[in-house]
Amino acid sequence: MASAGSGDEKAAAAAMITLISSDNEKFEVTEATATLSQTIRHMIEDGCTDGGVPLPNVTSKILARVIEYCKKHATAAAGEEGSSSSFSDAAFLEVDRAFLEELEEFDDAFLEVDRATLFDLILAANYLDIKGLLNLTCQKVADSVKGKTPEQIREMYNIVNDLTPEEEAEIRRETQWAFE
Amino acid sequence: MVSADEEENNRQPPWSRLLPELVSMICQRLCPSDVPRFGAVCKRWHCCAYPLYPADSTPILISNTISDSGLIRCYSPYLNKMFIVRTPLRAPESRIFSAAVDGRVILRRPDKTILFGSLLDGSAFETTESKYDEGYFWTSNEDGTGHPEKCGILGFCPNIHKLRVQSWNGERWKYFGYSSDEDDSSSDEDDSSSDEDDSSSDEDDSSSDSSFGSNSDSDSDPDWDDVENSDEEGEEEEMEMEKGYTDSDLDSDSNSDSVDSNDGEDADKEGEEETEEEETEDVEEMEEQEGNLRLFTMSCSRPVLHKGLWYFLGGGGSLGVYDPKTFDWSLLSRPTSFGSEFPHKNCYLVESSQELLAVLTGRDGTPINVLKLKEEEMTWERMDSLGSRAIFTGTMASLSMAKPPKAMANKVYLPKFYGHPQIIPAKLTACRGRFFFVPERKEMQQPSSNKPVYNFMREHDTCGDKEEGAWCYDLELDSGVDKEIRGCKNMLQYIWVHLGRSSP
Repeated sequence: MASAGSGDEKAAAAAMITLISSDNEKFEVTEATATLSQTIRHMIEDGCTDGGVPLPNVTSKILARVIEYCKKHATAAAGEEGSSSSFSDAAFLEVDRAFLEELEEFDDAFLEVDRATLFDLILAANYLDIKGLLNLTCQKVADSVKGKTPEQIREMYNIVNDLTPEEEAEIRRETQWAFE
Repeated sequence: MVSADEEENNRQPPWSRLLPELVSMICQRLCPSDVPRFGAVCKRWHCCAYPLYPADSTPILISNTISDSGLIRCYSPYLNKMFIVRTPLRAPESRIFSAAVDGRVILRRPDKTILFGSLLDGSAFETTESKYDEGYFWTSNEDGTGHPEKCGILGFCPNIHKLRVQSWNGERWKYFGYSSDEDDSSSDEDDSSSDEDDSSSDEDDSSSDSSFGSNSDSDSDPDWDDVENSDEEGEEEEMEMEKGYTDSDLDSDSNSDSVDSNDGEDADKEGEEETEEEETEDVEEMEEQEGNLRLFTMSCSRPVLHKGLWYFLGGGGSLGVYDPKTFDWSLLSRPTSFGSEFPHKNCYLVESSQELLAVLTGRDGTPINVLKLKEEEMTWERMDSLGSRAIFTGTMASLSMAKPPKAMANKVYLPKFYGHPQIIPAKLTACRGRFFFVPERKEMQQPSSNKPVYNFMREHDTCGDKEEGAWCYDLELDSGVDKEIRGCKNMLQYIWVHLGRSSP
């Protein structure tokens, strides 16, 4: 974990950022990886990253996952930039497609987590302002409730039904078409 | 989604207390049909669920034009709401006459082309120019010839003397029944009079000319047809037949090859020549049928495809039939009339569950009678009940729905409503084959609008409420003359379509 960034290109390796989780674990990442987070990007721009960036809302377990995501997608972003200038080149398109597929596979595998982790990832993505990760995790939740009844959704997500019977009846009446 | 380490993690994160913006973000990613159930999970989630309305539960009334800024009005009798739908589709000076399964509408353009355009994404396909812009247009995947894949559009123009048919087969137009041309490769010749029909009749069909639509009245119909399923863009066939000479000769000869592209020109010429050949027959037939012909003035209802034949309803209850396989057009000797006990101002033909029904409406809409064609005797018989069905009529297009929402069963809907339905700016969206009106942000952001909108939903659905809602005639109550119809607002220049359905 702490060795994050070691595989990146030499150029990027120059600028490393240290992220500190809520349980005080330190993660060293390249600037390219870290700046997928808009929150961290702003801190870098403001020059407040000396001595590490404390992230009191993110545990080391979750931060490690987030960094894993960012590293992969930072590479992807770099790749896209590289090839965008020659978009008409079939070979590049081929490479792009392969890369996108790989990225998709990565994302799918990345989301193979329990719901507690998913929950924490959503919060972390929101806090760190990582759009791609937030999209991905929210989409995962949305997909999981597809076609489910409210009861099933409550059970999945351990949610207590705090609607009164009257409210519930009214909601159903208003949207009867969706329950038929 | 259940992963291996789920059990090992006993912590239950407080999903119900997720920040509202995050719940909204999740909700925005749902297929619209999942949103109401998502909103029924708990209070917090309910507040984040956005309102939306099904667009395809029942037929809706759609304005027959799209404004220059891309707005189109859709009134749902089920929800009693008027949706102002913003669409990327642009079709200036065009008239909608039909809708299709994939969110497309089909329009007649001023340059005599037909446009298939998607209300969802604005994509469009336009046919080549047809020669004529007249009569009733119909779109369908099923043209009655048993080649559903072939069919797109038929245009029918019946009048006292002939039936002309235009058809688009995906590549070109063909014409049957016109005196001199049979496909679009020949020069144009136009009935200017019929053009007028179109334009005038959709404003207010009182102006429609006597050849058809003589009965039409001002309260309804543009002469565009409506909804059938054509989702395709590209295929229409047009055939035109001349009809006064009736079912026989001309048409069948010249048209029999209509399917091939080449019959066009030849046929045109032949057409004329044929007339000579068959003149005698024609004359005879004309004499035979003259009586019928005189009586046969088209009702304001478009033709209906029933068991492979196209039926045209005459104003008094007579029927004309066009067989797309043989190109024969004939006026049936029976039924002769609806019967004197059913005075009416307008009549509309609709196919419903394999039956041909005629809906007769009075001066202001009432009294309403629904008659069924008894095909053994070929007579009209009044129906006491539609069972679970609902009929949507009073515009050029009439639709029947076999299983509408329960409250709408056994009722006849005209393009009329009471009171002031809520007006909602919305987008039309599709998900998993269903269509939804999703209110535009603005409305959702209005303080406190979310909740009331949600609450109002379906409050006044159907006609249970006399002050608000779509007007309908309830066969069960059989109220005879419904006085309440006087306070109704008539929806001029709207037609019934069933978004997303090929057949109701």
